[in-house]
Amino acid sequence: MGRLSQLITVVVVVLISAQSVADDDQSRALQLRQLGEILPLEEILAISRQQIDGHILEVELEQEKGRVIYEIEILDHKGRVWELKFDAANGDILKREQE
Amino acid sequence: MKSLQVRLYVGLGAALTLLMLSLWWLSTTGVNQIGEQMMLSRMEHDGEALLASLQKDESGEWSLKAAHVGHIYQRVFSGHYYLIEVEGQQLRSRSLWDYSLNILTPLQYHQSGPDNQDLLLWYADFQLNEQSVKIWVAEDITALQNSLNYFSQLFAFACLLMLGGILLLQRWVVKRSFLSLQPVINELEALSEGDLSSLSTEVPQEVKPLVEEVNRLLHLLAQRLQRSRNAMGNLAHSLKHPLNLLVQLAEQKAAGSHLKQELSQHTQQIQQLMERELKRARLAGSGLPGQHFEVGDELPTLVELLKRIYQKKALEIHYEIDCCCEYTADRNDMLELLGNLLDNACKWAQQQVVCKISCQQGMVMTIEDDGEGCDSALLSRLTERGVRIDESVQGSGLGLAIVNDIIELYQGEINFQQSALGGLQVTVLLP
Repeated sequence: MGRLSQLITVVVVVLISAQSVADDDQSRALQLRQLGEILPLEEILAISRQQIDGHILEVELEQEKGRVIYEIEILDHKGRVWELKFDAANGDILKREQE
Repeated sequence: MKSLQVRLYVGLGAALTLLMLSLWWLSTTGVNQIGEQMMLSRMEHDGEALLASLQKDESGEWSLKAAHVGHIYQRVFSGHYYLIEVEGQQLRSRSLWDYSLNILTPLQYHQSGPDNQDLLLWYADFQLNEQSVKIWVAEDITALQNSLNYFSQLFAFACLLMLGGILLLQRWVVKRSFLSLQPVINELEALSEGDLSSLSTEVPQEVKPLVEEVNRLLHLLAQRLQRSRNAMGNLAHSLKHPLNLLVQLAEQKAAGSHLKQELSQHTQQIQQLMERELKRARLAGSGLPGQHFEVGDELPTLVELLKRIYQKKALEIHYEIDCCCEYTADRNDMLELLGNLLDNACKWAQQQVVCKISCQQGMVMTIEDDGEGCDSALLSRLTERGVRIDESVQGSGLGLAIVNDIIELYQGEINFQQSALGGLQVTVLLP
């Protein structure tokens, strides 16, 4: 990640927190996506389906050590719930565990 | 001419295919409409609930009372979405996440959504605190589409099955119906081989007129045959007398030139008779038998003809016909009947012949002349074959016999009376 994009991320985070919609995580996701900071959720989901196929139970966007992380809970066809974590910027899988 | 069976198959097949197609189309669109209408009404309720929970805080920001928004709008890509536009501010459901809806303003429309979803959108424009509030509610209809597709396929399959079943059933019915024609075909074969004289009328209603017509023609043919045999008899009968004379004359050796003269006279008579019978045979054989006898058309021609034949006598021939008099009978028979009766009357008449024809019930012909008439004793013998009342008027005596044959054929009646004009009055009743 280049210095410029890091800067933009900081600016965006500042901007988002400056607005009263900071708790509105869908607005944050949309803004980050529009800025090209993160991949569209659809792409992340396509990657996650290659790991585990099932229904999406919950999606959360988290800030971890300067990185934007997608935390996705998936209910597979056998009724098991999985938790997957992806790097939202490039779709790398970071964590995969059964809850 | 194409086969009736093939025509029935093609006709019914086309009609049924059309019916099944329209049935399939109607039910599929109907179910689709009902499904979408139900979804739209639910979306409308959700949209109104969103409107009700819309609030503006002190800083002028619009937000929704969280408790009023259903959980389904919180789960990401759940298939239920909303978007509210008020005072330039956009409120998006959490379920939309980072997906941008393509917002248009028809009251309902379709578009593709996130995660390969098919969305149905509901839109409405409200007024709240003098502010325009635009609300879009979207719902994933993939499940509905899938079940609709399944229903549509199932229905199409059922339609095809029914179509096939009905066509098979029809095939069977048609085959059975045509089987019932087999006896007629068999009877026609037997008829042509001479084993039968008429067809049985125990046949399907549709071919009954045909069979009856064949029977009628057969009957007519038999009658014609009988009449031509009678004509042959008549000919033989009328030839017998002059031939006998010839034979007798030939036996008289003494006669010389006188004999020759007599012989030539009688042979001429034979020739005339032969020609007449031959002419009749030609007449009877020409063309198809006419079904209608139009008196108004035929009688004037006949009268003209007779006037020309009896030009020397300067006869007055009066005729009266009921208007539009038309009788169902063979034209040749009727012409021969009338012709013979009028010819007789002209033969005997002094000056006047009167002919009246009416068609109230069947046909009634009255023919009178002002000739000498005839004794009541002789009246009953008039129609006997070969009887001649007066030898002095030329003729073979066959006229009335032929008349009698025709009247018998039509089951009619003939009466002879003394006419008021002085001569004979002939009345013919044909039913």
